[in-house]
Amino acid sequence: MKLHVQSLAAERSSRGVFAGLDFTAEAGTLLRITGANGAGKTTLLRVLAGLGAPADGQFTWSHDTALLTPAQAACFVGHSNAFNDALTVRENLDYVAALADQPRTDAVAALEALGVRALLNRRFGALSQGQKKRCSLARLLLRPSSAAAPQRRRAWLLDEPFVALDVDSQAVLAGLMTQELAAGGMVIYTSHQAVPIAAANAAEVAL
Amino acid sequence: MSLFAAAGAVFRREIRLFARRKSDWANPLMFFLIVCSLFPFAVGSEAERLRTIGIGVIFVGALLAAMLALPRLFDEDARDGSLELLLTSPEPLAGLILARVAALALALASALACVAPLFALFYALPAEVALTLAWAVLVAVPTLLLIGAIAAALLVSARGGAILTAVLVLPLAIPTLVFGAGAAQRVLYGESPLAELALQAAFLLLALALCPLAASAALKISTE
Repeated sequence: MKLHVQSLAAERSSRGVFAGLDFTAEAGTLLRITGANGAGKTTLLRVLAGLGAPADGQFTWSHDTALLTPAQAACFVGHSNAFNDALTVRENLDYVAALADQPRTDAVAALEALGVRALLNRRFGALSQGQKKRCSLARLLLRPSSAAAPQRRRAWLLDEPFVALDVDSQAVLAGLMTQELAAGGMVIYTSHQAVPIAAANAAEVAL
Repeated sequence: MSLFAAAGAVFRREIRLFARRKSDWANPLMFFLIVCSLFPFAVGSEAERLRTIGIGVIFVGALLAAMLALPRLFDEDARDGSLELLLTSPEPLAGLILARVAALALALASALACVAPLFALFYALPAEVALTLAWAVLVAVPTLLLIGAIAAALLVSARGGAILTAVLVLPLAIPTLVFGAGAAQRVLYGESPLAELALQAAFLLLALALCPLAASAALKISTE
């Protein structure tokens, strides 16, 4: 898994937010996007996730020599939880997995890793903000259960993942990010909180 | 195969939401009931006059009721962020949109088509006319929703989108209105409605082929 960004520029509501951005990231890299409010951190993550077109320049996701589409390469978790209030946590996770082409995933294990196994069959709308965020982050951990063929890891694109989480949950998430990196994943995130994340290969991109 | 899995998940989710939130299907039905029951008060209760306007009133009422459901296609998803899941799925967006419209159409068209013959009784229409009317509504509502998906995608999370949606969609639904109401009119005059029903079905097929593609393009534009 490799991300190559070349003289990338992006706009938000027809106003340029950043331009001439160059960087590359390899598997195992923890990349933090820094910048003031309005610098375009979210816009950059959305562009990399394929949710918006760049105004100029280009970026490529690749694996070995094969080019990947953003949809195949990345898993984006933004400010919103992307879960429907009227459905249970499990129903929401199953929907996410099916849309991401990862049927037969283990929703229980994903929730367990974030310490919210007990919320599996609760209605999402009835949960607290922090619980919602933790359930929503379980999207990142959806993988085919052991019997199925192993799939390529997708890069994590996290926009302010620590917001609404208590200190313990922040540590849990940081631990999961470390595990993902050690297993050959890639994590690109923005954060205003100084949560320590152990990573062998960490870098920063300033906007 | 995975497009079918993803589209199936979209379809099931939509049906589940429909079953869980009564207002989603109760509101259009209530609206339909109110429109159809107000007209006899306004025009008087002579059977002959009611028979003349009945088909048109019921048909237009059903289409307007279906319009009410259009904002729920994408607006709620845009608010809670799950629209991003659709947009970042590796599967073709048009297929996923088709699955979603299909679920909405199945639920709504069958509900409206079930009550349309009952309302035909208000208007002293004979049973054969009522049945043709129900069939025509069953075809017209999915057509309208398919066309409406384009407008809903263009105007996703836009302020005042509901009225603009109606302005964009209803003119395009005129062919299905003309042929659908025309078919029931034929039966009222003792003729065969087959020609009109066939044209109406052809219009549905055209919408089925074109609208999901247009809606997916519109959704990509409006969410960028």
